[in-house]
Amino acid sequence: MNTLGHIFFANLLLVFGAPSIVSPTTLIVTSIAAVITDLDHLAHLRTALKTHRFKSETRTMWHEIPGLLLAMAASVAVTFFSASLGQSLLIGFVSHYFLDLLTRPTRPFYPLNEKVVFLGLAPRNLRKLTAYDAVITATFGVILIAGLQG
Amino acid sequence: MQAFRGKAYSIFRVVQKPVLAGFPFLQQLDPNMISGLSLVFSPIAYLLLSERAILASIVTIFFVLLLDAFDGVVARAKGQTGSRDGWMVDVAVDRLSEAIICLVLSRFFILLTITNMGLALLSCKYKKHIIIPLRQITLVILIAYFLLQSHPIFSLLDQIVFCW
Repeated sequence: MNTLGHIFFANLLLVFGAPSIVSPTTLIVTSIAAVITDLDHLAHLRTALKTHRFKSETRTMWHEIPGLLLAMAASVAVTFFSASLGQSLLIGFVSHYFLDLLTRPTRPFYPLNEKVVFLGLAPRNLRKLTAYDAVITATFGVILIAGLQG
Repeated sequence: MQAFRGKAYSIFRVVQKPVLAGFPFLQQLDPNMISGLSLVFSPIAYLLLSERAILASIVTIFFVLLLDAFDGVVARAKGQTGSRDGWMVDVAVDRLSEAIICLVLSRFFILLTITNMGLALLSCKYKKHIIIPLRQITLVILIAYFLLQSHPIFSLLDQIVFCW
């Protein structure tokens, strides 16, 4: 999923799932946690600009279950200092991998196993995938704005 | 746990034969897509739990588990039994589904989710399926939570399930 989609979905989970901790700080922390995982794509940016997509091979272990496990463990450690910040981090990290597993081919057990998993809920054709992403992102955005205003 | 799984599967195999005979269209479905659908419903359980809509969340988690079992039925109908690829899809989807559902629950459940992810990685490495059935456990605890609302034990249960 694109960066904006990740931010919107993570904040949706925060606003509707944990409204008691919603604040500018938690919204920003959730947004950062939701996109920070994508930093490992940067090394493959040049190839992606040519092919217009990041392939599953560009995902490091930080982008799969081992990375999610460590990120969740770190977030739980943060909850002992600030429950709201820890929860925001948890929501950001989990939502990122959740959306990626739903919409992209991933390698969940990398580096233990390089098998690519794709659930087939999103198109693989680039043009259709772009349209699909745009619709999903816009829907998340509209619901989030409604949630923040309500 | 392994013995329980074995017994559960053998019961399942007896039930699935008439199901497959009655619904031949099952062979047209993609088991991965059904796993994906079970994942799609997990955030709904998360949102319902955050609203303390316990009965609705019990029904949703039950539906998620049903879809999770159903992908196995379809995989068997298509003759894709015992494949390592299917196992990986199943385990990855299950762990993410748990993680999303448990986000709204107490730190205890989050720690169990992390433990289960570690067990999934070990299962992948050593090719042995050792997993805590966390969503099933959550379902049982939520049913108890729903039924014991006027019981003195309820406040303790509330602490275990929801308090951080």
